[in-house]
Amino acid sequence: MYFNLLSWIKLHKDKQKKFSVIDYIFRSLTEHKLRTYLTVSGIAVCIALFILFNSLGEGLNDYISGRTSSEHLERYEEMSELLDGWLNVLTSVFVIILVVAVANSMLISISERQRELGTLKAIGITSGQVRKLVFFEAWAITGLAFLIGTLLGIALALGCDQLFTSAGSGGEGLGWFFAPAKITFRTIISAAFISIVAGTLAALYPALRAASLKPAEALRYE
Amino acid sequence: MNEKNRTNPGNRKGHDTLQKQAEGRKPKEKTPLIEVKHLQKVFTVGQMKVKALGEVSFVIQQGEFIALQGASGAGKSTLLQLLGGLEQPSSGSIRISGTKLHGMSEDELARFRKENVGFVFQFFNLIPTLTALENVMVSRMFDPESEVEAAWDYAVELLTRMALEKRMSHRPSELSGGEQQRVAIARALLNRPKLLLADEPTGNVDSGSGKHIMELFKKENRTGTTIILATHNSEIASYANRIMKMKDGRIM
Ligand SMILES: Nc1ncnc2c1ncn2[C@@H]1O[C@H](COP(=O)(O)OP(=O)(O)OP(=O)(O)O)[C@@H](O)[C@H]1O
Ligand SMILES: [Mg+2]
Repeated sequence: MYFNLLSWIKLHKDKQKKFSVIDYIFRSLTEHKLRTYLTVSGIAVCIALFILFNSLGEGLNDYISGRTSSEHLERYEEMSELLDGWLNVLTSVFVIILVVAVANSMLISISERQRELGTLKAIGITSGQVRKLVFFEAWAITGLAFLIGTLLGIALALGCDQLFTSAGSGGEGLGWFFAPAKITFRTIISAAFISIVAGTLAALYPALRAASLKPAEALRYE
Repeated sequence: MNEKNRTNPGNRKGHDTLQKQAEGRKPKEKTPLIEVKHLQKVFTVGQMKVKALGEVSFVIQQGEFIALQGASGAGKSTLLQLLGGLEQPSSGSIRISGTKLHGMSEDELARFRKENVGFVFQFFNLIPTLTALENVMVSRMFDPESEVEAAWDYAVELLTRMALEKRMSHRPSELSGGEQQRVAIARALLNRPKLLLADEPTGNVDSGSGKHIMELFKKENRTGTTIILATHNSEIASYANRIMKMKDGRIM
């Protein structure tokens, strides 16, 4: 099955007497399909894993707390803290990967388009508007990645949970991979928050660079 | 600055009023569109100083069609970039419709360009990802939707005037050099600029397309737009009403 999301969006976008910055960003993202797909899928996998691990963590927490008798409460709390600590480390790693991936993509994108950005400035686009272009593009990438990553993450978490439950035994001996999962609203919101923050951080430097471009220099012949 | 032109793209009133005022006062002496005084531009490359523009002073009236003619390195591009506010002068002053360019912030200059100046470049500089029509519209992409619609109609009109009505949804890569340059001219004219600056606009098209482009400039000039065009070619320069010869950063 071949499902091309970008052409689906294209089909469903009615073309009237309109041309906005959204169209501009859409065009530049669809022009470099391969780069867009690679960046988006890389980030989507990160977000999916984030959702998976958090759901497994929550699931495990629930599972253990359900089976812990009061005399083991202290050990349970210790374990729970340990789990949270590891999840935080994982989250930080994901955020760093996200920022680097998006920043890299944006830097390539603006260095390829020096002349284009110089032209835009020459015909009256302000530095602030150029900055907006870069931020919007980064948010478009992370936004799309968030949608795909969330769906993927939920699917993975549900799959793990399903395997665990259908193993029937309550999980003994099945190990980490087939653990109970619990997808919470909090996890999804955290993923959205991480996407927005990472997209914004990643766009900061490329946006400043693009905005400080001198039009006369950018227009100088190759 | 030019509020009427900005808020109502389908309206030439700002321009007409200026001309009428000019004609009203004294029938022969029009207000100059451009006043350049003691303009100099020095580029610093490492330790070296390159004087791209010596001291130049001149006045250009509204509605003139000027050719800047000179050999390579004479300073034509530098002068056009200064007039369009893309570069800052090292010394001297430029006034356009009485407005001083120096002392304007980057953003003010950008807005000034959008409202008053159209640029046509030697290498077209169209946005490769956009269609011809979208390229013409690109300076308006941040504008509110209500204003964009009128500009869209005008963009269609301009492309039709450039004999490109069948090519509006084509990308630059699907157009010939001459066609790309005509799209670029339409883009430069969209915001009804007082001033059109063209740097070797025929430098990268065949001679037939070059003539077509010069005829289009000529026609545009007859509607009142002031044009300054840089070229080293005397045949191209002969389309203008006045030729300013440049050599070694000076006007002869
Ligand atoms: N950014 C720059 N840095 C250093 N020197 C520059 C710069 N821009 C122009 N110059 C120098 O200034 C002089 C005038 O250049 P300019 O580009 O204005 O000439 P031109 O008349 O447009 O020439 P051409 O016909 O080749 O386009 C040249 O000696 C050039 O090397
Ligand atoms: Mg030049």
